Amino acid sequence: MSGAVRTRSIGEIDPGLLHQRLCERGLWLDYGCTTTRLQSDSRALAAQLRIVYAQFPFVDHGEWADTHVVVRRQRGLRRWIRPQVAFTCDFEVPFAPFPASSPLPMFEWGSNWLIGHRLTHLLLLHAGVVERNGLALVLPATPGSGKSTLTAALSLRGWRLLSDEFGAFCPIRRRFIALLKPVALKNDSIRIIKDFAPEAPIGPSFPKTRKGTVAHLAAASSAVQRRHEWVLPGAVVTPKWAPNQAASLQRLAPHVQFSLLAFNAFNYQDGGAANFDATAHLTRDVPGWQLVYSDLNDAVEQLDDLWRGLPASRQPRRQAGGADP
Amino acid sequence: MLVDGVLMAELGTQWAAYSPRSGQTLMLNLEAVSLLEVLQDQPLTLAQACRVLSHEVDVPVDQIEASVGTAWQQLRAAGLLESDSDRRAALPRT
Repeated sequence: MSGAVRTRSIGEIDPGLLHQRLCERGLWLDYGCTTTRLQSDSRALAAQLRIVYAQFPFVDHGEWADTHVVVRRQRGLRRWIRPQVAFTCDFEVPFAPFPASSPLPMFEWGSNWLIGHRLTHLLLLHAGVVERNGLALVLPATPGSGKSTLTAALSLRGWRLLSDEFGAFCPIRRRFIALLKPVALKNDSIRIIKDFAPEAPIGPSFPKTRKGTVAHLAAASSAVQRRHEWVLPGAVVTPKWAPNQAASLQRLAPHVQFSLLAFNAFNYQDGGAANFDATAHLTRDVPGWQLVYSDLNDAVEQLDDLWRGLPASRQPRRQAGGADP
Repeated sequence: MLVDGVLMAELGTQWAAYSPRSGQTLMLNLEAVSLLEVLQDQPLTLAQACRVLSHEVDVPVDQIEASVGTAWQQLRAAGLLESDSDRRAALPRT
């Protein structure tokens, strides 16, 4: 009898075995456009990963990883007095340690930092990205604007999550690819998403981090399975939460759209002319709006409506007004 | 004259430009765009470019110089424009 062997997901793995593998060879986490190898002796981290990476395949012997990370408990007196975990990459410890009870925020924060610095072949926009009907909705915004909350809400209403933080765009293919990690919800947004979708798979809350209380929303199984699919850009929408406002969309001026994308990106400067071209493409050929909203349900409805009308409205700007330079 | 490899993109009412010399991206105002457009066609000094622009829009040269002189300096500082001496200095020594 023959047949493909299904790789078990991390959520299906016994916590003791997961901890053991993390202590030994490590765990290979394939986010879509990049892979991280993680080793750790923290039982707390094993338990937390089992929740927020539940749908990711359990790979304890990968062929390649772009980054190699160790999250290890501090030794000496730190074993007993206010225990801590430290983040190590390439034998360097780039950050101050975190409390031993919070290894997941340390790993997420540190690995995001590494990705932002090292993934130079892609333009990494500071944006959430979700997909529906084969087109990517790009949500660039400055921190605190509700980008992750809206990205999380959309991912819980039928949109496929690619990332809540990194809009990974290939300047050559002119398509997005997932950089799929758990969505980092902060402070009020944790309660907002729990109210919005009580069944949402959210991990433990970590109070008193640098960004306040943080909790992570696990990616859905379908998002994990499709994380290697390239997606054409469909629209750019910059969200802005405002109190007591009915959700509304207003077209973005092209120069504002360009600035939002380029000057908030993690690595725009690193890509030189290729990233300039990519950003100009995402401005001239992809329509952009600002979404102002108070209520998440209204915002999701607005974006659902926008997407239904998108094929008609997604005309390159240069066709509507003026020639290319 | 325009630095080799400068890229420009029209973005509605404004333009963005990228300099491979400095690695900078700039959002350009009207004066800067009009200068770069003239210099895309031919290498000119500031005075020559102002004469071309003066002829195009029928405005006295000194007024044109007053409005684009600052833009010229900023474009040069950003690595979008260069003089002959800048170009010679940028060439690898043999």
